[in-house]
Amino acid sequence: MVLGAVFVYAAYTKLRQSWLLFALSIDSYQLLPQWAVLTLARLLPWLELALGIALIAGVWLRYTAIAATSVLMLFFSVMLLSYTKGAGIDCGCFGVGEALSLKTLARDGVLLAAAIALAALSWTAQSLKPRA
Amino acid sequence: MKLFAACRLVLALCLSMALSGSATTSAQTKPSGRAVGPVIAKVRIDLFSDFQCPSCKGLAEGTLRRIKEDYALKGKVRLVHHDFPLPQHQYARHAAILASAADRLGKFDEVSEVLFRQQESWSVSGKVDEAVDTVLTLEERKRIREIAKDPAIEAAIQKDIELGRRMLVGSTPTMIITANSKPNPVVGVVSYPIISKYLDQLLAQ
Repeated sequence: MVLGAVFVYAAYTKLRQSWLLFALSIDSYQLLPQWAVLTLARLLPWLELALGIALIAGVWLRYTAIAATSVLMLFFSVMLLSYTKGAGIDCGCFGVGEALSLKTLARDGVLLAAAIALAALSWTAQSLKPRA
Repeated sequence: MKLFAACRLVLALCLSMALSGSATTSAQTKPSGRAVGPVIAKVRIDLFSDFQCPSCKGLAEGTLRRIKEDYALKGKVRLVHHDFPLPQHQYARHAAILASAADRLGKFDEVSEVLFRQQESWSVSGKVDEAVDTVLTLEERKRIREIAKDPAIEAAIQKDIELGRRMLVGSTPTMIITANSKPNPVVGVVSYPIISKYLDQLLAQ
């Protein structure tokens, strides 16, 4: 539920502002070509929203937990890479105006750990269900 | 209607002076190169930059040059340079002082360009003055040394730093893009095609 709410909030902060502002945040990581930056800026907030709603509703939990883990792992890797390179950029996590820092890395790490735990629990619980 | 327009202009001027900081010092003798574009432009970009920061060089030599040509010089946006020398950059403050001094001679663009162009060299050797001298005449070099001693220059840089802190600038380069009184920070190096789309969107609103 909490992880789902975080995804929904992250989507909300991006969707309430110009998508181009989020595109600039992605662009500042300097990892993707222009077409990919623009496509991702359009799609990512909606993906986060869909994932958040699915996590809150608990539908296809095993799969949504895996998807959330994958997305957060990707975010964490990219953030870590940029931070170690010393790039003084915006995190872009919850809209604009938050610099990439140890704090944002720690927060993303906690979310990633929660997503991994959720995925592990949902798959374990499924495999422990008695079979007829 | 005229009264409304006049009030708007005064308000914009006050805002500009408050934000521009060192761009409009009283000792200014020539038009400042630190602020380009009309004061009442619909979109305003406050750039917080450090001459010793490699990302600032990247932004200045690519994206900002084109923003200046395509938007600021055409009167669409106002682009204001603010000094934000970071404490870990040993020579950044001196470079900012020289650029500000050069601004009084109408040589800000030339000096800031050479500071970025030769950044790799002077940021190691510390020979900032030598880098700046390459774009100045003998007379200008002498005058810049004198102007650089003016405490008002240092004070204006400090004012820029304080303004940046108030605007929550944490790293360089940071652009605060303001349209319809709503400021939005853009941090780091961004590419021209994307920021131009954003500026066009703001101008079309």
